[in-house]
Amino acid sequence: MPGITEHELARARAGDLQAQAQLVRGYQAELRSFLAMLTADFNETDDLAQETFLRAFDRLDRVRSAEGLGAYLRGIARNVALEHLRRRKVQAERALKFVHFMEDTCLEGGDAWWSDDAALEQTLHRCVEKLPDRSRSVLEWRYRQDQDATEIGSQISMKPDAVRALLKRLRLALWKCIEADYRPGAVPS
Amino acid sequence: MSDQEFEQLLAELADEPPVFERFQMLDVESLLPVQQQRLALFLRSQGRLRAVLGGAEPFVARVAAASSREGDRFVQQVMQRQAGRTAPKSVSKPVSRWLPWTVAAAACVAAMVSWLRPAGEMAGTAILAGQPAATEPGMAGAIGVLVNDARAVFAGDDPKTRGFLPGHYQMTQGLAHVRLLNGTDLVLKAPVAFTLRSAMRLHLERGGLRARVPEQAHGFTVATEGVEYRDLGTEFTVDADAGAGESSMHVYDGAVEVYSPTGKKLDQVPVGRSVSFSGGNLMQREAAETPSVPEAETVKYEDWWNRSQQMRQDPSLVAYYSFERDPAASGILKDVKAAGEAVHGTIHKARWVTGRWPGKQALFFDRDDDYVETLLPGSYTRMTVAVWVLLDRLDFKNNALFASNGWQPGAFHLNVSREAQVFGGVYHAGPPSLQSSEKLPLSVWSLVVMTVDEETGKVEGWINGRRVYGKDIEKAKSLVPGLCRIGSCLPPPNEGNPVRTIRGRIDELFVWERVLSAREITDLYEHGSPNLLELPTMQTGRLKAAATR
Repeated sequence: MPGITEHELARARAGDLQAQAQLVRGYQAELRSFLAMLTADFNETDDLAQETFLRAFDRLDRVRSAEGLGAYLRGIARNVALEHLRRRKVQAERALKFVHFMEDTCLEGGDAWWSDDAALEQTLHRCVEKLPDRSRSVLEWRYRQDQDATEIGSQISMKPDAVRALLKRLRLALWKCIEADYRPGAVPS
Repeated sequence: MSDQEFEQLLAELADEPPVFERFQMLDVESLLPVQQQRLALFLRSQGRLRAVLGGAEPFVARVAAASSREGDRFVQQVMQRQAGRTAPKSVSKPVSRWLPWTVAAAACVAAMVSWLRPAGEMAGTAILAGQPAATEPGMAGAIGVLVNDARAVFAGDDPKTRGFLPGHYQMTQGLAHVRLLNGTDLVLKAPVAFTLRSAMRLHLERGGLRARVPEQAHGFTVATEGVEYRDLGTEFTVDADAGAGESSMHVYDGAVEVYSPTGKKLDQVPVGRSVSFSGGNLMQREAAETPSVPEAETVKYEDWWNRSQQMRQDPSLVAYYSFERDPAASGILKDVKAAGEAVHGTIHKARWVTGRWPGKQALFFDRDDDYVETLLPGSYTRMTVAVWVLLDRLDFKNNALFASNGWQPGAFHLNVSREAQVFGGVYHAGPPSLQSSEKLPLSVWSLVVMTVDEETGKVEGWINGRRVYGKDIEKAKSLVPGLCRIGSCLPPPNEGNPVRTIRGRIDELFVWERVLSAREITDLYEHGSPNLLELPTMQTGRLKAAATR
């Protein structure tokens, strides 16, 4: 299902800022998720995602319908990422290998593997909710406030190495929960 | 792969930071199909964590701010900078005032013309035919503009002021970044001599150049003695010595075709490969470890660095923070002035990020307790504070760029209001009420300057080289900055608006114990401003958007 309506797309194409914001809202999760898998640096991820949207705004006249917008944005994001990484040979190779692996693994083929997945998103939310308060805070500091291990450690009196180990445990715990709960295509109410 | 090995793989990919090298080394064929599916889901869920937990709105606001200002930002920067170069009483328009703008506009027209043409057709003639630059007085035939230079010296007529018309050029010193009508970026490294025949063709006699050719300029050709290098959508360097009949070429991106002067195709060189031409023969060659000509972005950084070295010699500096991270002391913001005792700042939480150009560092302030603290000793009767800042947004009533802690008499304050107006100066009695007549643009690197002169009783504020704020103060008091914060402010206890931290980046800050002249402030802006045509996110398409407004 497209992240925006045909009407919103038409308005975004005409330069309407609110419609453009809606477009970003509708597609930011999948684009930033994709880019986050290519670079571990949050700022870099968002820089690349921003560039993707800005390029797309310049060329929205090339998108015929809202249905095709996701694939169009993914194409730009892929180019932006590979252009950015091209001078870092190892990272660029890894990025390509990663993209190819995901494409090969995706049962639906093409780049559908990173299109928006409401079921995964909601499963992730539910799994986060099941964590203890302190664990949720740590994840929030890391992912919402971009704090590093040292900064998080200073808030909960832990050494940076211990915070890193904690983050790893939390990610694995979330993974176990996701693997158990996730049903592709199912959007829980 | 065994189950145990697979779980170990996932554990490594869940590390903080993730061990991406583990994926690089992974033989995916060794995974069972079910393991491949599990790994794909694991990677998708990990990637999604930040987008889900971080929420969408901060990012949406960021893109919206950048998007809404992008086109205006280009026009504004060109106009502001060129206006600054124009003598106030001049009636006629100097050529340089309109040069970058018309060339950029022409580039956009050329790009549009090029997109409409059949693939494979040479676009040079069409580009010149669509050149609006000819409508400006003195601009007929200009096909390129000097975007940046680092101590570049040209023999003969200086293209810095008249642009690049078709003709012969010789650069004897320095580095220069030139943009042609069709959007091709050239970096020239002295000594270099060449003849610019059109926006699509250049004859390199001696020296080195680097070309970055956008989509609409495919086919751009660098001709040398005995051989021609024709772009296929790429970035490449060419070094030539016509006297010896030799040249060499390296491809950094895309591919380049090599032709004889009679039009016979000799080779197609892919990315990462080099060829050399000598004695009438074309040969493969080992690529040099370091590029013979640097990237375009390097030119501006080099220019800034050279100028920074000069500026730090000024004996009237109280402090000069160039925002260059010292790996041995990353928590310290170094005062780099040459004379007097250094007053280094202490970085509290603010993070190192990229500044105005690649290679230039900045500090990023986006949390309430991000700031740098520094102690400026002594008292002064005059002071100028200049700061290069890029603000993402204005969260608070007062957003402090640089301010003394507390409101003690003589305290210095340089603030931006929620409405993006600059205000401040010296604190004597009561809060400053006046605000600047113009607003500080968001999402754009800007120079903000505040001068205080206790002898004349004047405070003035400047945004990007223009005076936008002025007020009278009581004369003959002392300025006592004392303990100050960069990027934030520490109000007295129980003061309203307790948080005043900016949301954005700062990458250079000066404090002088004198009042800078208007000319000095304009120079500071012109030399430090990110170049007109190479804004970080501004691609040719964006130039088009700006030009068609």
